[in-house]
Amino acid sequence: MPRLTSWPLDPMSSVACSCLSCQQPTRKRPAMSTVTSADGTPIDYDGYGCGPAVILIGGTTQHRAIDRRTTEIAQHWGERASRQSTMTGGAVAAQATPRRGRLTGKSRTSTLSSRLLGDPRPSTPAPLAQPSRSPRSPPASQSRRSPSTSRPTSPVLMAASTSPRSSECWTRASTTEPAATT
Amino acid sequence: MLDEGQYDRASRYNLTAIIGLSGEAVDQMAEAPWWSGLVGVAPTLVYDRQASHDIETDPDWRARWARVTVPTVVYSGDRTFPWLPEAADAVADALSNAQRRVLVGQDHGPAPEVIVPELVRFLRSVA
Repeated sequence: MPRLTSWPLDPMSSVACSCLSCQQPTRKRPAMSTVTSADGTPIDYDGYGCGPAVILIGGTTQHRAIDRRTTEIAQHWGERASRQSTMTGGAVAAQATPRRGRLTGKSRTSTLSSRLLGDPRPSTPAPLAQPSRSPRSPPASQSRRSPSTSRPTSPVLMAASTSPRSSECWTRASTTEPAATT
Repeated sequence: MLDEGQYDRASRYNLTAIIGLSGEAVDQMAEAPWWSGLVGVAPTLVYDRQASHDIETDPDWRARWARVTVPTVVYSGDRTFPWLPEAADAVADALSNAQRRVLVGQDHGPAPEVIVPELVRFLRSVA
């Protein structure tokens, strides 16, 4: 696809590669993390596989607590991508979390979407990507989420990524420090 | 409603007044175990409505869609509400660079093993 793929690679690839390097199906090791959009909207996501992202956005009100299907699609994509030499890569699935209550920004969704989808520059992870962790450390969002049950986890986005270049995923998988590849 | 924390009421309003389901249907949905999960994300309805309001209310919506020039594929299932394939047809017609596909045997939540190969095919075709 013409570069829809400005998704920051670091958080995804690290987890994906840990999955691949330990021979675990990506289904069992989803990358979970949280990023913050430019307008301050928290977005949780799950990741499957590695490589440039394809982002799945669930329909209205759909999120992983009640919508298994979008997650399954992301998982399926990540696994399929990991098997195929012509479209290798992993997947990243995500979950988004708008703040509860009144929304003040105008066209917040549009802003959010454009930040996620619209900017093809690879140098734009800044507003989206903070999570930095070792491949084997627990997903940052777990520790972040558990103590903050008051924070709404109301995802509106799901994302999966897949790489069109077969070497990218497996090259990363073969390194012990995948985060260093970017 | 949302400002007042009336998420259940807001969810019902969204499903009936905006989406068009009957009150009866929504009453049945409210009995489902996932209802609380749906109600819990009621605040996100504002995002959805902000994103879709203009194009849903613009009498010249075709012109809006026509400005979308990225390669697009519009899917629908053949086992879903009859108005969904109609809407998909209309949107695909209006888009300036769209393919239109029907997924046999699928409703509006397609099975992963059906939609993923379709999307991969599409992405390859436009890559």
